[in-house]
Amino acid sequence: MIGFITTPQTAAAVLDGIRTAQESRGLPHYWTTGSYPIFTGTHAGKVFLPFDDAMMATNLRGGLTPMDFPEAPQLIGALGGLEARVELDHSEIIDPNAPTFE
Amino acid sequence: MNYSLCNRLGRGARSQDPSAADYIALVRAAGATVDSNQVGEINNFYRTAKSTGYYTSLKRLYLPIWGVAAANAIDMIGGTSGTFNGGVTHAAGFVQGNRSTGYFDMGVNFTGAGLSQNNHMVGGLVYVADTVGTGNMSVVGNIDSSAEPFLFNIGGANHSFYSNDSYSALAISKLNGIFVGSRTGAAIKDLTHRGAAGLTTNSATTATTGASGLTNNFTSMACSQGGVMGYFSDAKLSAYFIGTGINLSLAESFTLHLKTLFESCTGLTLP
Repeated sequence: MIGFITTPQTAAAVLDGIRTAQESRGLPHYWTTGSYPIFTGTHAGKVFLPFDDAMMATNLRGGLTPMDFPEAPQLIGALGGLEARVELDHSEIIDPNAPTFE
Repeated sequence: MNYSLCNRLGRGARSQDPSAADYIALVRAAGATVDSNQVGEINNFYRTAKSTGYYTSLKRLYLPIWGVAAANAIDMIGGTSGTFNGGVTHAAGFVQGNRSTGYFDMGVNFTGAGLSQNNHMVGGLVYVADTVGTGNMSVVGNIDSSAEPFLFNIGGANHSFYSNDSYSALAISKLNGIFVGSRTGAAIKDLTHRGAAGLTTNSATTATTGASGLTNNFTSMACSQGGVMGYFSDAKLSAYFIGTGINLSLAESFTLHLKTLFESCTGLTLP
């Protein structure tokens, strides 16, 4: 998985910015990167925001992508810029203590 | 006898269902193209759903076939939008999670959707499930500490419907197609599957404790496990829904109508 690793506080602020970018234009909140707590590994305790090339190219509406929103540079900048993205193993966002049905 | 032009034009014409008109307008406003054939088929679906009698049982129904995130997020029943999270592909005819972060949040929990302990259903249209035998994936669902109404792909060969029941599930050995898991009583639980080969059902008549009062939102392509997302999916999904319970007869009709809607709007064939 490719994306940003950041603090819970910064993640919350970025996700709120994504929401505001949609709702301020009279749109519903229909897309977000989402944030995923990191449970294991060297980044345990922080939060992962996925943002790979496929997500960057998502057709949100009428051909517009997340990168076409004017707020995108600022929000990405708050996370350190695209070059700050890292690769994280999926296992690190799986809660080892989560309730299961098995 | 000469008929007026107005009469000739009006003969046989049907007015559009208002719910269909609202949904189509929302999808077009969201940047998706809805052609005249799709308009007709969507109208037909709403009409038959209402006349057959299961429409009022549906609380959320999504048809993510439009290739556009905003359009795919629209609920056909109430017109509100859920939220796509993480890596989700929006293709012509389906959406597909990336098995690691992608999922859809319906924005409503068990109580908010008007569901109750012995009266609920969940389900979806699985167009293709690519990952076989490598763990469980959620079609739609919710897990609280001990209660879980949802539909799952398990072990690569089965879909199962859980409604608490101490982890006991109804299962059907089909990987793709339309699945409806429905509970209409303490001892009435049904799982219906429709595929290209026809209809299959599995029912339970032993009284068990149904799921109730889950606080997390219903999601598709992954499942809230007590507030943390898990059971991520990479299945290609073309519909998912929640509602109050419906009996086998209504489930048979619903799956047939949904099959027609899917195939006629996408040009794809239900597996």
